[in-house]
Amino acid sequence: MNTEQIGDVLIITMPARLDAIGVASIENQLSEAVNSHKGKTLVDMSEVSFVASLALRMLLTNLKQVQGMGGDLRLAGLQPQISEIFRKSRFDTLFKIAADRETGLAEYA
Amino acid sequence: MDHEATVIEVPAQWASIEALLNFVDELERTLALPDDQAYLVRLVVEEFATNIVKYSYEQHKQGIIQLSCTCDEDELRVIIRDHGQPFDPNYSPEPDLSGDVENRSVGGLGVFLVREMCDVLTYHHDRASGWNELVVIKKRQERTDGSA
Repeated sequence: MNTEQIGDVLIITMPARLDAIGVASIENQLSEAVNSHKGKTLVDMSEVSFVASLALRMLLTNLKQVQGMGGDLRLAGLQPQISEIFRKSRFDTLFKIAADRETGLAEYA
Repeated sequence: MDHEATVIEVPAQWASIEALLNFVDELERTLALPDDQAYLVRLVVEEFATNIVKYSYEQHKQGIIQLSCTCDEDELRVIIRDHGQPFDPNYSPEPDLSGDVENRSVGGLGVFLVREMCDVLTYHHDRASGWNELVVIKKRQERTDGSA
């Protein structure tokens, strides 16, 4: 997991596999980054090739927390199979999802 | 391609999940699985094997998980076996997919995702032997562009 800040937006780049191992390796770091930034957060999913229910739960937990502090957590760059999981689980109605990082940044401006 | 089968057996503990996921990587290569099928095998491991580790065996009981995978020109078949607590996913409640960010519940999502991504999901608990067997089948996608 990588973080960088562009203007007032915290960009978090997710690793390729958000399986049980992937989630366990980043969940503390993600929650810390989101909770200390408290503001506009963009999660770049373009490298992610796998998510399951555990990763959806992790993202939703962080969305709730940051919205509670007046911020937001949006997603960008979902690969087709990941989009399908978001659609089927209706998680696409919970997150604002941009086609890519640049679009996500522009929408925050 | 002829019928090819591969099987792995691991102790039902958290450390084995990584071994199972690595095994799926291997399967993806050796069976040359298309992306959607490889995704499904990973999803089955992720949603069911982790549940077996968490819930199926009492703490004092040494359990195992068997994962096998067969693949031919028609379908992919993933089988997970254990001999812990019976759990029939066909009786697990449908998840509530409505709700906004605050009220969205996430229970039952794992079983739901597997069911959505596969074509057939069957479960059998054998009372005599105590084995549970979950079978997940995904048909090969028909080509619609007319090419062979």
